[in-house]
Amino acid sequence: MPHSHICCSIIPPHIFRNIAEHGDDDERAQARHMLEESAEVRGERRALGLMASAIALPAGEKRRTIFDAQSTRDLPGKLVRSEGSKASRDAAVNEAYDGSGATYDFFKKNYARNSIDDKGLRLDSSVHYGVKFSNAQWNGRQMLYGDGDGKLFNRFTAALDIIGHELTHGITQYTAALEYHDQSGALNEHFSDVFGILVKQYTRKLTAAKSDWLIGAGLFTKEVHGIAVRSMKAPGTAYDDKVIGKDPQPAHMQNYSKTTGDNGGVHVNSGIPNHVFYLVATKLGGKAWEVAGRIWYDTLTRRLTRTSNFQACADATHAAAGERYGKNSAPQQAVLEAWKAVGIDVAAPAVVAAARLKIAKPTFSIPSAAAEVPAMAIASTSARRARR
Amino acid sequence: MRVMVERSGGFAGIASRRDVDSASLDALEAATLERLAHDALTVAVPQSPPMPDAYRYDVSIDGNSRTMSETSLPSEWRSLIEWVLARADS
Repeated sequence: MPHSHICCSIIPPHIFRNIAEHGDDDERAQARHMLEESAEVRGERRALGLMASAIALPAGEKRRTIFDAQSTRDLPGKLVRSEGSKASRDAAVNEAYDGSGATYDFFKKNYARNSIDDKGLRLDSSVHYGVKFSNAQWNGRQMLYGDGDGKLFNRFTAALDIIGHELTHGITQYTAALEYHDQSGALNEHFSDVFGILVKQYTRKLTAAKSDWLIGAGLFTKEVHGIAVRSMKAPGTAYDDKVIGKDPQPAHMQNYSKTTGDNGGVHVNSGIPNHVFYLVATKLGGKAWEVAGRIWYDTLTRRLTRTSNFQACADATHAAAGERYGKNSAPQQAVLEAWKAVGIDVAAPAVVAAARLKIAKPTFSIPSAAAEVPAMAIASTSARRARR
Repeated sequence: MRVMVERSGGFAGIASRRDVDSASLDALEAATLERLAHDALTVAVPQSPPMPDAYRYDVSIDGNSRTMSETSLPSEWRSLIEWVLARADS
């Protein structure tokens, strides 16, 4: 059945259910989206959860679906490529497909994580979102990418680390669920930059010494005086331009930005922990995703909570390094020194132990917490739809 | 009427700010600004938790300030914001 029939006719949900279970890949993808859409409109979030698991392919499979929003803000848009189907003539479609695949492989092979939710969640991306839209986003359930305005920004799928960055926002949503404001928000941004750059390093086989440690290299057009959007090696030096201004990122707590814009400077103050990660990775050398990345992955998925701040992250990375590589091991020392270099002293071991006991509870309740998160995300999406 | 719009956040985290005063616009533009602002003010701004990399908008209409997110932006507010951001400061 062609997709147009599925999306435009008044078909009762049970038909979609059938297609979703028995159709080919493209049909199933489209049908599942229709089910999600209608479930949202009716507020059947619980039903949606059950449906999603019933329709899911066997665990452990990489499932990517790329949609073309065709310059609208209507999501997801037209289905243009699904898992295993041939390449498109549209570069943005292929970049979103390859980039989400590279990100899936990165997390699966290095940390045995099965997609965003660790349960094989399908990776949905919409390209050509909006008109001259100069942004990329994880909206709580899918990635969306704008084409850029062409004046300052190129298309947002052009940089692999941007795709890794957006998908990591999804992982954070299902794990630490760091609130997106102030220090917890800057950490949310930080983890997305860390795994964004690691996806790029892993895919291109770059050691810590060989990486440029730049986020969004290639995103700016030639009109902009800048090499990237952020630099983990030297925060605050990525761009200095007459139109967009100067990179405002600090690399030390003494320059912490107390702005209210950007939800408390989440894209600004992330420079501080970003630099910590760079220091740890380059101190240890070799493949940054193996040791430094592992410590940060353990921290994000097991040791932080919604309101964790920089100090909590410093203590948690230090504890995570100790747990995996041993007390006073080279990785743990590198973590301690790196946080010190940006003006944060890791708390004394006794204090850290106490903090760990305190966070032990939420760690065990992650499955139920994770189940709440998509419902919240959907609630905001359906509220938006309801207003149209 | 004076309308200020600040857009912050987004993946790049690069802020953009415009400040438009109807007193320095021609009659047609001033009328457009006032109509867009009036329409926006009739619609309540939904409060939702900020989503990753979504734009945040701080809008002030004659000193009356609102904060809103790209992910829950009513179309009336979007029209005003886009019109103001597309203009040079006045």
